[in-house]
Amino acid sequence: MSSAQLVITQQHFFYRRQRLIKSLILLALSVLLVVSFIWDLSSGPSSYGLLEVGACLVDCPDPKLELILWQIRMPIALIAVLVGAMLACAGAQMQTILNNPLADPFTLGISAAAAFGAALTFVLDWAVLPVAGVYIVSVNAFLFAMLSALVLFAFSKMRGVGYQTLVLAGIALMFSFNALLAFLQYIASEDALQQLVFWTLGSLARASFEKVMICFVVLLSMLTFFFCYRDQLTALRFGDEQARSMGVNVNKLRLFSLLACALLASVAVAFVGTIGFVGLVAPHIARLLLGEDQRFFLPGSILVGASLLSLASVLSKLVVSGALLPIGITTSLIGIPCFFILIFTIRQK
Amino acid sequence: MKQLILLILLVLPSVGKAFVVSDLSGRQVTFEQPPKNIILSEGRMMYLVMALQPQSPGLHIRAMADDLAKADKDTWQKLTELYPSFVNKPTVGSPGMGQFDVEQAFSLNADLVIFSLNYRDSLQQSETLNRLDALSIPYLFIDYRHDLSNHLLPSMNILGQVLDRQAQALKFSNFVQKQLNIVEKRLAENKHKQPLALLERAAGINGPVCCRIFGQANFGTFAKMAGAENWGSRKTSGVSVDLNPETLLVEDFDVIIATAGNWSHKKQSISPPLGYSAQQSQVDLGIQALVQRTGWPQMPAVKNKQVYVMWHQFYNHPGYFVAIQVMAKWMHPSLFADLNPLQVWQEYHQLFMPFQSSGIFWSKLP
Repeated sequence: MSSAQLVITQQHFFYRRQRLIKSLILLALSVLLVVSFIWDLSSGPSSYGLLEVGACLVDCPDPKLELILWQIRMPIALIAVLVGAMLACAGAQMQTILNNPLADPFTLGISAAAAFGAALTFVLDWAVLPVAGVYIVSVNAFLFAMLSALVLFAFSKMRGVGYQTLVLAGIALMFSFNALLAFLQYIASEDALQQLVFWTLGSLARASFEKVMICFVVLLSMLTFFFCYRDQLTALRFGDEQARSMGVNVNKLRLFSLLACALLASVAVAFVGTIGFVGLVAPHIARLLLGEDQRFFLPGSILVGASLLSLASVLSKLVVSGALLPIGITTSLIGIPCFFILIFTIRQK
Repeated sequence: MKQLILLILLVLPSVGKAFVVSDLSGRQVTFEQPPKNIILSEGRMMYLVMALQPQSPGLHIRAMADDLAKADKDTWQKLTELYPSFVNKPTVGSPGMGQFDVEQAFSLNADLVIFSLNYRDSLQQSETLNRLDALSIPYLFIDYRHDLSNHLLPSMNILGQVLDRQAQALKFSNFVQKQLNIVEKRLAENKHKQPLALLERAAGINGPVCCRIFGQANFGTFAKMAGAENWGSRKTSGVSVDLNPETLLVEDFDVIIATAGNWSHKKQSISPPLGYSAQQSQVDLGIQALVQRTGWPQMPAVKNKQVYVMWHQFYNHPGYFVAIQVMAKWMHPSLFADLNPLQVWQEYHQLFMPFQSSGIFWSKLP
């Protein structure tokens, strides 16, 4: 065997080993997600634990447990997983297409726009779609989030606007909506302010099966989109020129991915409130563990995001038995230590 | 000599009227004469002013914040129908959001500003108090919502002094004390079980989402005074906490009391629209909607029809003792069988409000 052949074989071996390790990491993350989901399903103020819940999933003899499991715990546990996945997916792809590690639905103003939309309902009783009834807050939040994404979209279609300018435009949008939000808080009555504050802190108690279904459909369709373009998206990380030379229509891909991210983030935020942090940090954790390759990075981000929010849901139930701590708080409490541990251990290596 | 006598004669009347008021923060403020241009830094302080001068509620009130109009549309509408001049009173910024403007107070020739005690520190930090001192504009601290049971009567007394309505303040004090004593005395004298109560805050204001629960503050305290054990008081010493909906099916609540109000301007609201313009049919529909939320139909308290709704604004209303009486009657029906809170509420309006009572302020699951 010539030395060149040996190098190629070694590289091939190395590549296969890397792939195996990454696949194992993905498997471990999947196990983590399943464990946290089951933990979420089996924790609550009632005495029903893992065994009862497990039995009830198959055949439920206790009507009370059936009600608790299917009407209360299940929608909350499912929406935690779905929203975590959606925010992480949106964050991961925003970081990819904008080639910026700080891009996420928060920093680009989508969450701020959603909060502003919700605030319009709480403070001014103003609705974009008055027919939305009890979903008026969610609908307002969603429409404003999409509006901010469309503004970004329109901005990016202007001649000579690169992705760095786009990030700056997003940050400008975030500050604009934050200022408008602050203005509404300023003129709000005490009760309206309280509702607004609690909405923005996030709550999974607003979950229902309808919302779970909507989240599932949106996540699945956006994932299909990202899956179809996985190779092009990976190419984007090597820079626009490189991607173009590989035959990628950079502008078009960036625009549609941006809209897909906005849709994911808007739906998530509209249903559970502005949960920060997941969209930013889950992709970073995935990147630290799995690298840039979209085939591993995207599922990794999604699994990390979903597990983070699922664990945060468990914590929010456990802190004060019978009460629910706002999910926005527990997400940061769970996620930040994980993030720090990872940063330092990987640096040491 | 002649000039001296003239000077003394001129000064004497004002000396005679000078008085000192101690406010809730313990400050002593001297007034040479009763203030005529008072600024209420919160519009809801009008609940107290109305009780003191029901015949002329706007007298000496120069300006106020707009929170009454925002928080309690029913009362505001009743008040402005009778006294349209309230609409034209200048609006001042609320200290709660750091909006209170000393320059505006000065330009309105304010000779007294009333603040809520809980904003004292933030007003101090924002230099508002120093600026008012520099401009010689007196200010007093009262409290009508954080600790009603301890602070309402002293606050009423303070306002009675500055509005020159001491007799009415005393009448108010006696009335409230008498009504509260009825509940307190009977509960103390009779052995009773303390029912476990769940107190939901502003039920249905954001649609069918469940629930924010009162902690130890305001309605939590009212429930305790009415002889109940408030579940939320075990969970937080603060105003409220988010309930895990599963708790509804786990804890054995004897009674559920939800506060509600006229939030019909909120399109997502499913609340029973309690207040001065409430109709029984709407209230019944509202309560039915509340008990249809996830997990509610299965609760023993709902099955036993132990679900009640109470006007949300009682939490910062001088008539809060009526809410305590109503709750006491719900918790201990036999002990308070002869008590008629509706009559007390109507009497309260006759004596301490510029308008008569109307509408519905509390109700039961039909």
